[in-house]
Amino acid sequence: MATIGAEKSRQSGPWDRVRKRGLFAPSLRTEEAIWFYIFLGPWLLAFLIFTLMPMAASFALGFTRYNAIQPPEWVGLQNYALLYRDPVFWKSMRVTFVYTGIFVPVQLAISLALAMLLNLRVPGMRAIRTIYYLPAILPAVVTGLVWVWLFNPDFGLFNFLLYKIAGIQGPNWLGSERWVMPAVIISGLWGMGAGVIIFLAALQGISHELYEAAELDGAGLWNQFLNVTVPMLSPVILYNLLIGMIGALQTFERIYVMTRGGPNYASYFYNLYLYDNAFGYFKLGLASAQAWILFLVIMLMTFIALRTSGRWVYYSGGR
Amino acid sequence: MHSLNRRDFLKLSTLAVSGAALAACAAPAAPAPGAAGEQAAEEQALVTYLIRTDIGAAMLEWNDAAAAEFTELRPDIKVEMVGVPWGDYNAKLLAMFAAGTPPEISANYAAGFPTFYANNAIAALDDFVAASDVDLSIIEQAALDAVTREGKLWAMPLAHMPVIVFYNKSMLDEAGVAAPPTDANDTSWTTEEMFETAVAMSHDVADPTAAAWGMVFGPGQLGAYCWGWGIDPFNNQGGPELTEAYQTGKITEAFYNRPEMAEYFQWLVDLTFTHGVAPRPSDTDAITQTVGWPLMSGRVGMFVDGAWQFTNFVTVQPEWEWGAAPLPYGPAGITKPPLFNDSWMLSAGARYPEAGFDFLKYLALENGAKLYAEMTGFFPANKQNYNIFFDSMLSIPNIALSREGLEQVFTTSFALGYPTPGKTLDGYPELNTAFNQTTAPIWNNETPVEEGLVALQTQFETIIATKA
Amino acid sequence: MTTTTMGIRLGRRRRDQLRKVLGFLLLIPGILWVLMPTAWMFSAAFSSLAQVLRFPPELWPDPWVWTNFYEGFTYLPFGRYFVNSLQISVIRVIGQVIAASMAGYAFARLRAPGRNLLFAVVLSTMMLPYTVIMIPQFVLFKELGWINTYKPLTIPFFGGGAFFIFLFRQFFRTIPEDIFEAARLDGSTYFGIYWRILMPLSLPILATSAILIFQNSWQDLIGPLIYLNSNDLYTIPLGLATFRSSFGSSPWNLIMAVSIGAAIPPVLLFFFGQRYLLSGIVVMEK
Repeated sequence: MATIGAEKSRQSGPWDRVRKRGLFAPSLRTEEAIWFYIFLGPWLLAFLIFTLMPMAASFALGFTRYNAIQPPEWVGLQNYALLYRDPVFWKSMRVTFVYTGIFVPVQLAISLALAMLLNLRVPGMRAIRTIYYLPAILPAVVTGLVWVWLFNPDFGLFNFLLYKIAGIQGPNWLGSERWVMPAVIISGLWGMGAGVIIFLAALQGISHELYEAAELDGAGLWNQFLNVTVPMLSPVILYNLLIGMIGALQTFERIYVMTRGGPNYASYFYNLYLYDNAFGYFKLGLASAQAWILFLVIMLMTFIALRTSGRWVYYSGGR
Repeated sequence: MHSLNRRDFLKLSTLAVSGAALAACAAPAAPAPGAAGEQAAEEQALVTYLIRTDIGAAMLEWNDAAAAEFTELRPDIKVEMVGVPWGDYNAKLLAMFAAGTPPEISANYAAGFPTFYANNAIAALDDFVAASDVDLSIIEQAALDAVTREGKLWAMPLAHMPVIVFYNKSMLDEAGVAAPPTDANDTSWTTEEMFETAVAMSHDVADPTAAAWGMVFGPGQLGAYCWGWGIDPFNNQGGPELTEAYQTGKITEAFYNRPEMAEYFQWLVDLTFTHGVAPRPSDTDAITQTVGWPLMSGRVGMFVDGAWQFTNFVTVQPEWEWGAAPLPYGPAGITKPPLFNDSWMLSAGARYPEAGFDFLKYLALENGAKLYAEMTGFFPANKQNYNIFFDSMLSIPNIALSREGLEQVFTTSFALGYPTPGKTLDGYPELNTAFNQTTAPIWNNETPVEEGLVALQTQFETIIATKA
Repeated sequence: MTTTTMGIRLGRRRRDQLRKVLGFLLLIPGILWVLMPTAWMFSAAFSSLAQVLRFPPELWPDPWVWTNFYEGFTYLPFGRYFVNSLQISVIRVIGQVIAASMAGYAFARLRAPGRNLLFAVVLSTMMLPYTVIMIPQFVLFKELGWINTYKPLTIPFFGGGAFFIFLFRQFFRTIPEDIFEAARLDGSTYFGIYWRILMPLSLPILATSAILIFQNSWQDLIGPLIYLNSNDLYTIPLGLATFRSSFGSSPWNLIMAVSIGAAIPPVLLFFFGQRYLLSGIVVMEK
């Protein structure tokens, strides 16, 4: 029963509050809290119904032997012990981490650069942006195949170009333990990922005045980037960094189609091993244990990233 | 002032209502057939048939035809075919099992029969067989043996196939070499002979645009083609007959680092990198991605593979002449083609087992089997349909075999063959992954054979140790 | 800011133009890089199967074949699959965007006990590989009777999804607190702020989310694969996976034609969504 255009509240005394809102009205704090939970309602509901139980189940399954056909059988920490002793487990960990460590920063930098370029207001830019977007929408069955072809040592475009431009005989990319990881990294940098789109959107929120002010202060292009763009984008940089990291650690689909984890486990990503254990070998208990190990690792890394983010992330809206 | 004013309340409720409406909209789908799970026995029985969809057009057509005909014959049974691509077959299967609604009938792909058996996923068929009074003698005995465990029958074989050599007769003719014999007992057809033939046909291997390779041999499942060298990976005395693992399903030791194995692997590597008669893995990949089975590219002279590859010729008729021969004799004077079988299984815990078995009967023993032999290019396990298969194959243009020749290839191969490890070993998928991953550098000539075999041996020993 | 201003302004315009041209030129190699792999795709879509199967491959279609699109879309009922995919994706986008923006608002600007803990829980839901919650979730949906319907592919997403809740939260935090305070003082309700202030300001992020969620839903394979049994409910990715044969050759010319056709809705969404994506509403700094 608020009236529009009512006089601004002048907090005079405690009875004012009661007068305006009734005797049993909740406090401001509580009201905000209530609304918090109302807005969070859909997520909370969906989480409790659809996510919590499966997550809890997967945790419990990590302590069982389970093949989905018969009921799970409790084995305690056996799965974790098995993984500890398994060289393929450690290899897959290593592969995944090495990839993440290299890929995420590179992807972040390229995404930002690309977003800035695509932000230029030039005629025809809408079409160009759409062209860059195209690869993202192609089905995995197509893109995997395309990459296998591109990296083919005899026919592939890469080696063809390497030879024509630099006269080098390119390696057997997907067949070489040394070169398969670079190939996987390169194939991840194709086209416009979600990161670029998000940066593009976020770039719109940076007021031109800031750039103008910086320019008047004598800042060159690079300085403007460093002192205006980056700080203003920092919340989104943090987002892309975290999402990129979480995504990289869970890489699966591309590998499945391109390399199947080979050769000799050189691209046997963690999630691929997990999948093989679950649906290749019917070892769902073991796979669940694997999943929770990854979960804890990701949680730890995210926690560290968020903790240290306070130092470099600037929320222009204020904390 | 901070309470909800009317307009906002209206908006909020509209939001909530549209949310609910969306949720209702999200269920326009056809009612889930039998998903509720409580169908009265008088109602139509529902047989869920989980098929693999990426196995070639011929098989898809057969599945459609069989399901259609069966529905006509048995209106009291509804067959619901659920198609999944191979890579995700197990995911779907396990999900259905976990939810208590396994498909009545599935085929032993992906994991393989031994794994299904070991995981108690399938039902024994003996009771059903006894109750329906079927005559199993029309099925090839070796195929039945392959799916018998502890005296019980656990699956119904539909196909039974040896590993053979397919060849491009036109390429052979061009090179002026004779075609291989069709009798597996003909000892003149050796790996050496095959090699010579391949040399005559290979040219320009360095130039991928013009390359022609004489042969593709490969290691076989877990290296099983080594049987021609007188050895087996899982015993150190001789061939596969002496390997207990194939009887029990569990391997207890591996012998990959033996000199004879090294000899065999080296021979394979030399074919590609020393003599240039076989394509490199990257070449094979490139061709496989587009053409599919490399022999169909017309650039490969001979290809060792399972007899299921006949299905290619059903769908794509090449312009060149083609034929088939048995596996050649290895240096140990032995030929032992690995034998494969494709068997369809009845899931344990299926809701309509009788109806499922009836469908199984139809597919393996009745008209379904006839259609199978006629349409798919997979050699039938049902002996009554041999002729149908041969007729069907001989009707494909450009086959350079006589009827007797084609028959001989099969019958003599069966006589000398032995079940392939993929159909006898429990946990085969895991072993297969380990084998493929660890040997990849060997086939790419990145690791010398000896070193690679040591790594392979270690890998297998680790697996054996963890299973113990 | 007098005559010198003129000098600066002229110089700036030319400089700006120069920058634009340079930037544009930088994008060209990128375009080639991006299009190059799709070249084969387009080539195959307009070639006959015989040509596609030729080894080594010949890119220029000879002859040009126009029937692949029709053949592909009718070989399997792709028309049906297309409609199905569209239906699922649209519903999911609407539901998910609303839910994610609401939750993002809650985390960004509404204080409550347990907020930080709940946010941690939200983030944690994207840290567990889907493979292991797949089976328990499947069992859950089976108990609910949702197998072979579109419900598992839409309703769970009406919670917002961690990625997008996080995204909205980050974005909302860049909007100055003053705006919220001013609105509250003006007598606006929390919902009013959300609906009348936040949403209009968030057009870029709304567009981003819509594009990305649509894309995710459009390309989802594993979801439809395990939840759908009836062929007439199948989606495009599932249909395409069926097409691809590991025995014999796949009909690549048809697969590519269908893939291109299937790419059209998301691409259109992106193309027209750019307007909103790039419509930043400049928030005045103090």
